[in-house]
Amino acid sequence: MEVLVEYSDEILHGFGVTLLLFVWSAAGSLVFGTALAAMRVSPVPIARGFAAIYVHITRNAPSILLFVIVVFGFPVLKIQLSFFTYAVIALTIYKASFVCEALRSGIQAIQPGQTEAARSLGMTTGQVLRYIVLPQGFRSSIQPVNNTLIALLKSTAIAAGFGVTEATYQLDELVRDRPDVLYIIFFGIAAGYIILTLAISGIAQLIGNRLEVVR
Amino acid sequence: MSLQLFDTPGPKARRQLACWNTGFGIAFAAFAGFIIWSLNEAGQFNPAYWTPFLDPGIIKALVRGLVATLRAAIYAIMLGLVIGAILAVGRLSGRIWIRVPATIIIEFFRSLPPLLLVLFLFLAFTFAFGRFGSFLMGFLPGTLVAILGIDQMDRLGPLVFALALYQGAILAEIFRGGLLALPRGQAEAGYSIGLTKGAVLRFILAPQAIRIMLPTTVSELIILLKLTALGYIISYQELLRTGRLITASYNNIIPTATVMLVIYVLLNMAIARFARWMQERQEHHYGATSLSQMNVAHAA
Repeated sequence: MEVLVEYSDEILHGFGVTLLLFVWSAAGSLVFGTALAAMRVSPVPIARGFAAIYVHITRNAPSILLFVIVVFGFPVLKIQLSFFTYAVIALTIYKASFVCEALRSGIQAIQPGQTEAARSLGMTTGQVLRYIVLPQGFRSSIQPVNNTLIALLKSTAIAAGFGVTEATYQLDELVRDRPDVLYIIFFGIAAGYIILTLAISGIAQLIGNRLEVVR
Repeated sequence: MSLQLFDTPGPKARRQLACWNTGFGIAFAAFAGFIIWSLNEAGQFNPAYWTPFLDPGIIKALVRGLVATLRAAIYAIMLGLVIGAILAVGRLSGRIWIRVPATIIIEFFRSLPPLLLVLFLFLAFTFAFGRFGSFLMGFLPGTLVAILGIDQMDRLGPLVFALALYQGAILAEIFRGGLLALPRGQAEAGYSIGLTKGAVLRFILAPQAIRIMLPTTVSELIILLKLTALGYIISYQELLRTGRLITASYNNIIPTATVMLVIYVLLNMAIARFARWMQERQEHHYGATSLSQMNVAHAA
């Protein structure tokens, strides 16, 4: 235990970076993912096609490959950014398609009778979306989006392999000096991830209880 | 599609749609043009960067990397299925001293980043795995060693065990969902004819649950296949690491990454199509199950 106290500065710093990575890429992928979902359910064929291709490619690629593309590919194109920014970009590119699919599943879960009823009342497409489809769609995607965000938290660990000094990186770094403390540090860092996972689920639960549609 | 979001467009809506379509078309074309322009500006269409992929030696290396990736995925899914089955049965057990530890193990491994597990097992056991590998190499024929990847045991071992523990915990939850999704009358009928709890599980529940879960398990294989790329970080010679070696000698990161992307996407789309085919066949035979809609949190 005293080992964890001794290295608490490094570990806490690591989790600070993990949390920052998580917050930035969660914000990025929620915004980008919502835009993709809007394109995927829109009546515009070209937008649908683009979103579908994007989702198929990024969902089937390993996240670490996207890190390789961003971290080593961007400098070739003369785009020089910090490792942290690269990691946020890679995670956003990757997770946006999962957010898109989560939102789309929420929209698909709406009963067809809902939109039919709205149309028979004479609502326009915009009104149907604004008053009927999107409010229900967002609410029933809270759980899938929560799952996506927890997966995102776990994916932030990959940044450790690409120069970001987050929590998983600290395991490698600290053990380099003190191989004997491997187990205790592993369990300390594992506990940190579990706490973060529980916190994210708890927040989603709170939002869900407030907003979830009762069927 | 169950939900009809839009009415069939009339003449006015069709004109509007045509406008939107043109607008989006121009935007995407501009975006694609910009990417191609900047790739060209950086000299990425230089044939010297792309021709290595026609070289037999490079193709052979890529195939070897692909085999290493598939090998790790297959080992991990087999081990993960065993771990998952044991943990699922453990969590459903009536005995509290089995149920509680099984639950803790599942929740622990499910909420860790797979990379943390890979790194931990690598740092802790690479020598043990390496020694075990060279012990096996002592009496196994060389071709078998190469096919099974025993010569790379020091890196393959940690990767496979980490992924199997992680995926096993997720599979355990899928199995448990499958067992719980069966109608209760099935188990009750078993008990009423005097079968023990184990016998009910073995002869009545498991055979039906396995059938329901099969498509989900196949799509878990996609996640596992993507996770094997974590072997890159502990320099296990899988597909991505092989690609990185190619870029070291040709300095062609963007062409290589493109080739990697194509291989992974085609492979995973083929597996996804297979899973969907199984799903459809099953729905045809047994009626749709709610299990396909089960959401399991996972990272990849």
